[in-house]
Amino acid sequence: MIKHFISITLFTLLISCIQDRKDNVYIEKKLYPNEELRAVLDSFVFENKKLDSICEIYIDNILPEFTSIIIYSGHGSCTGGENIYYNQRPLGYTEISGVRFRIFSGMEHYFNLLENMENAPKITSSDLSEPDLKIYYENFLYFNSNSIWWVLIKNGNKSTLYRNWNEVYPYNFYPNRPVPGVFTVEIKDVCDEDE
Amino acid sequence: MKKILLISISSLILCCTQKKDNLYIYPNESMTQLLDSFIQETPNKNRINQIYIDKIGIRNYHILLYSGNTDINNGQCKIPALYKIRYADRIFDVFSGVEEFFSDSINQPKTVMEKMKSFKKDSANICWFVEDYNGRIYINEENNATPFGKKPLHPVDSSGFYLDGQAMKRHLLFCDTMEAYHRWLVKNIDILLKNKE
Repeated sequence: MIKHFISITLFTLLISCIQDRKDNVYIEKKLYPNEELRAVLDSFVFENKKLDSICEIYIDNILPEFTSIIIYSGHGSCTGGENIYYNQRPLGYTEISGVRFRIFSGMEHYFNLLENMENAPKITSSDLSEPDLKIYYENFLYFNSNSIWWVLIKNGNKSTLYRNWNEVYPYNFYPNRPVPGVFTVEIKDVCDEDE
Repeated sequence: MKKILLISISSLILCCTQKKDNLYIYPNESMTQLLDSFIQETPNKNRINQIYIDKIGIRNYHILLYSGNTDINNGQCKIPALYKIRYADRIFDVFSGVEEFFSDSINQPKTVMEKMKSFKKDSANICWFVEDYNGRIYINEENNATPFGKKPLHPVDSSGFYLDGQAMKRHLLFCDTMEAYHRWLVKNIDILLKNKE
């Protein structure tokens, strides 16, 4: 009896695994951050007790040795309008203390996880509330007073972490500092720096 | 019975391990159009093929398409790609900068890329530097292209503030403090405003 039960269970699992592959299930790739980034992400999760539903990481290689990494948490996706407009979905994610961070790098503009994207989950305005989408759709910007941005700048071996940087849009000009005539966005605070 | 169990367990492990190994991704239409053109220029399949995606603005991208006897850094690429594509009987490694900070294995440090096969040097390496400005594509042949940080060769009209933004981002990296950056920003505000117009 036990033998039969084990056989059936194993067979079912096997079929399930095969079926998953056949069905072309949309599975983002789980990635593991290096030690330094892991420490920053740990701090991000630890220091921001009430993280919003969407947590994201943006990798921007500005020069071969220089990279800026934006760590974001907010009610909607930081690039929600852009993702809907261009049909972009993250290709990977990482998980820190139970918090799932979606990873963007620009690759999602040209590549998908599935050959036939009809099976992929639809991108809707659920990542971005409808009124916000209407307001910011044209320039894709998404601002929410409760959103959190940290920026980690890697300059060769030197790392600088800017906490609580307001309203950064990945891959765009930043930071939005209060410079009269250039920016209309009011900035609340000054950034801290950690060497 | 034992044999059946053994085979079932082995198959299960094999199948489910493969499922996790989702290394391969799929190019969308705009990328396949580029790849079709690129492949016509590189008829030899047995080469190292690499794609570098450099997002430089909301709507603007730089892409390097490379095919050669060694990797694009002349055999110096130490970090393996996290993603690959199979296209027209070829395998392309896809890089975007993520691989610098993430690996697909929990074991750190990440594995160093295996030594590349030495391909017969039958022809010169081929590299395209592609500028994609909101769907406007410029293809430039490059001999010694370095991934990331390439300057645009064509005007970027779609995002008037892009060039300044990129320049400012780069300047930011050389500032020790936010105050230094802010001083630089204020000093250059006239130029920035002029360029913005």
